[in-house]
Amino acid sequence: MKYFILALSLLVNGLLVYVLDTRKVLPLPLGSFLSVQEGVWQNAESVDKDFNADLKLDGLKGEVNVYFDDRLVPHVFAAEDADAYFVQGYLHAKFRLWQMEFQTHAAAGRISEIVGSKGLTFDRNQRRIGMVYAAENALATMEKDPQTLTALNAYTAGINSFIEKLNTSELPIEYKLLGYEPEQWSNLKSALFIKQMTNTLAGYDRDLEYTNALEILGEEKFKILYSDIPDSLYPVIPNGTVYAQSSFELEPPATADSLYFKRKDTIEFVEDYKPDPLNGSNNWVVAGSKTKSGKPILANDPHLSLTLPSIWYEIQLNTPSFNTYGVSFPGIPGVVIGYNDSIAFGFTNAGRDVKDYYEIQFKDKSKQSYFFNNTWTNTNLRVESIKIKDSLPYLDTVAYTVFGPVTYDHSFKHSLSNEKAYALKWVAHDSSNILKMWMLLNRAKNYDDYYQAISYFNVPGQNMIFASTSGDIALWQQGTFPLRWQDQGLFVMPGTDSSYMWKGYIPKDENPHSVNPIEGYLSSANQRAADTTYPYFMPGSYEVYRPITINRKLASLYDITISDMQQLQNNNYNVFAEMALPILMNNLNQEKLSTDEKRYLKMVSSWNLINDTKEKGTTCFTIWWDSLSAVILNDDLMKEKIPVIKPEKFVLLEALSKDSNFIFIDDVSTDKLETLRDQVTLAFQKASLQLSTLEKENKLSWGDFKNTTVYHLLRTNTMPFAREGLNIGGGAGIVNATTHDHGPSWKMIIEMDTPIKAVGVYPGGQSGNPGSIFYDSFIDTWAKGEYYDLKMMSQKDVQENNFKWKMKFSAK
Amino acid sequence: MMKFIVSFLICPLLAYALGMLLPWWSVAIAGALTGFFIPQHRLLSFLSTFLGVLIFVGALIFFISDANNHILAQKIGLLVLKDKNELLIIGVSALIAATVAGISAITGRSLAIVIKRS
Repeated sequence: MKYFILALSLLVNGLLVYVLDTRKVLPLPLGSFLSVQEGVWQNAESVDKDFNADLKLDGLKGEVNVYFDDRLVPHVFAAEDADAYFVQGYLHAKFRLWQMEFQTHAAAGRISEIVGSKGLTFDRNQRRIGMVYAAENALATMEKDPQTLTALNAYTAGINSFIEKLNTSELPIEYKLLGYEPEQWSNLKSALFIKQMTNTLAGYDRDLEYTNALEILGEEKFKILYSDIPDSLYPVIPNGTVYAQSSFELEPPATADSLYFKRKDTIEFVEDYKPDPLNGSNNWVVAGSKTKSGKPILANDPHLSLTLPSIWYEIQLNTPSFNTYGVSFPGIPGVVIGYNDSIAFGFTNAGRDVKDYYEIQFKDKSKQSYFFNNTWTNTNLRVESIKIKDSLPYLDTVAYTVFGPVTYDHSFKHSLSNEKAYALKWVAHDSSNILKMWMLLNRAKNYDDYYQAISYFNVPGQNMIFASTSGDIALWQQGTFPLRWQDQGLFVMPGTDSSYMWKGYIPKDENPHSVNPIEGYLSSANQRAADTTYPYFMPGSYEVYRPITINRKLASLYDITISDMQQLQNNNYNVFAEMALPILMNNLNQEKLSTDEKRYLKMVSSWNLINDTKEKGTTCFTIWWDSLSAVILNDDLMKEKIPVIKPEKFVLLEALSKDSNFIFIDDVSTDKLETLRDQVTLAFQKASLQLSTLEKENKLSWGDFKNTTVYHLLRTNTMPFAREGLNIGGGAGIVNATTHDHGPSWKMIIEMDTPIKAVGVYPGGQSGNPGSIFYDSFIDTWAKGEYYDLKMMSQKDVQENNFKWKMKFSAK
Repeated sequence: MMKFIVSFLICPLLAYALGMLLPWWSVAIAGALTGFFIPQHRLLSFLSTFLGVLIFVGALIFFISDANNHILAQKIGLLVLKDKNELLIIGVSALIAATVAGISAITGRSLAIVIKRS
């Protein structure tokens, strides 16, 4: 009996420990996950946590003092530049380690290592668009420059000095949740981070969908629906600016008409993991002539996916050679958007297309050679080994051609023909040292320094806004943009010879720019940078309406203060609705509407055109317009199995405002000839069905409908780590560009007065730990449209103890 | 009664000490050792270690979580138990450790009985 009891208890005991230790039975190893000493309880940070510390670390040259304010923003004082970057790396790791590693794993196509085979398609996609190849090319250039090499080495050493001392119980929660441990940081990971941002901002293109739309519509109709130059264009560089003639002869190849514009082919697969086309930003600067203080004011709010932990980390870096404050990216050294003692700088996305696809003819399935310039040419085969959790690695062979990596071939997505494939030509693959730009901007003292700094930048093309304490303002659209003939690269191009290749790049000095304009202000909001007199073809994905509101306001405001700029960043006026609503109202046949439909009509007709959270009219209008767009365009565009992308909103609006007999209005699937009045009324009736459902769910007000949410990086898997239902208005095309899960990821306003005044806020908190009060401590302030003072700390503040915690770093 | 109290006290302390060096399953070792060396009925071995660990670990977690204003407890509660009640997730965490300690104590005690008899 005693042996039986022993055997039984051993069995039960063993089973219990096994079940609680493995992920194979329960989704989480609850034994370790809920352990008081090892599990999540170790991440429950005391709300009164003392962040004071005295650290002795290998790799530092001298002493570094870090003073934290009550928002946990570090102000780093170092005697050596390298030490400042070392400590920045240490702090990024201390507060944001998991996100920086996760994001660089994502960049490198290594998510399957963490989540298993469900990450494989994503990983293959990343490898096949050449993310690691691009990062390696960038790193080689960054490491050739002594300044960026020093910064990267110090930053990496700082991160690793934190990781080395990290024990299992101190791991960020996400590691415990997913069951893995951090690896050593490397300079390559910083390069991968840069390429991840590059893909986010310069990875959106529509070549494959446009190719399909061309086949469906024909050239003439395609040009109507996919125009990218609106009548209501407010370009970044004001209309009427005179541009020098191009010195390049850019003519399409002789075969273009038959092989390109009248190409007969469709691409029947959907491209996954496209970056969000809403990724963008606002920035503007007003000269002293328009401000109350007589000094320039610069404002910037980059629009990205709203995530926790936030993409941004606030920091001040102070050394004898520079003193800068702003937000940094956990993943790279330096301050990315901010100011120093002399200048302020910010960015918006240029949105220009720097990515083209070429159709390749492989000799056979081995992908070893392809037909190019009348001969079979060898590819470079890069075998990507993708590790998969709990499984054998997946080997993916990616062929590199003269254009770039072949993203789609018979083994990935493309099933039309075994030998046909699509190679990607992308500026992101070129070697570059964009980190150097931030090194120099952080130290810039005037316009000339800024001009020199931005010359290092290639991709993702940005509108770089500038203001100085000496009163200069400037805006350059900077980046490396391909020289293309008109309409080159809108569709897939033939890749069998060199005639369709890019002819080089637009000289950087010919990029659109403006310095100290007489209007006294400059702005950009992801619109087309220049009007039609700009001598180069500049395709892209552009915003039309935010710039209109911004330009109207900036033109009319005088004696501008920081408070005025805050109001503009939080402006919820819907200028698209101002233009579109009269068309809808004038063409609605109200006699056909039911009582309920008339009730919704009243909501929209009495709406004040402002996207505030309480407005029901915003929801009614938005759904009505989307419904009209579908009623008018779907019958012409949507064909089974042939993916297309909807035309930009301005196309339909401007067409309908000019021509009530617009050729696409008629529904080709019916015998009847529909009029605009028919379609607007039908669209309203269809919208009303949706509105009625929303009303039943109590989601008719704009705030409830939009349900602004800052997701955790693991999205719906970790909803308790997200913040849902935030009370904030705005929307796509609104200056306050907050949609459901996207919007102003950092809002900053800098007045170049003496001393410089700065305010800012981001929807997150300085700590990446969901168990810290600093995890989401800024979110409510952000949602209310309020700001924090960004205080550049001085030695005087230190002496007067104007800080909350101090971390002292010294060499071991 | 004395043995029960000693077992009740020693098991969580031993688990905590071992837990500073070993993974979470050190609580199983602590339970087994306590059961092995403190002779009492198996049921009492189980009860003393179970209650000792339940109360000690429960109090420890409560103390940590209270200092955190239960911010994390509520999030983890939602994540694991779909319930944001902090006391529930604290209770479950302590219960897991206590159950492992108690069952291990029975194993330790059973082994002691076998060794002693033979």
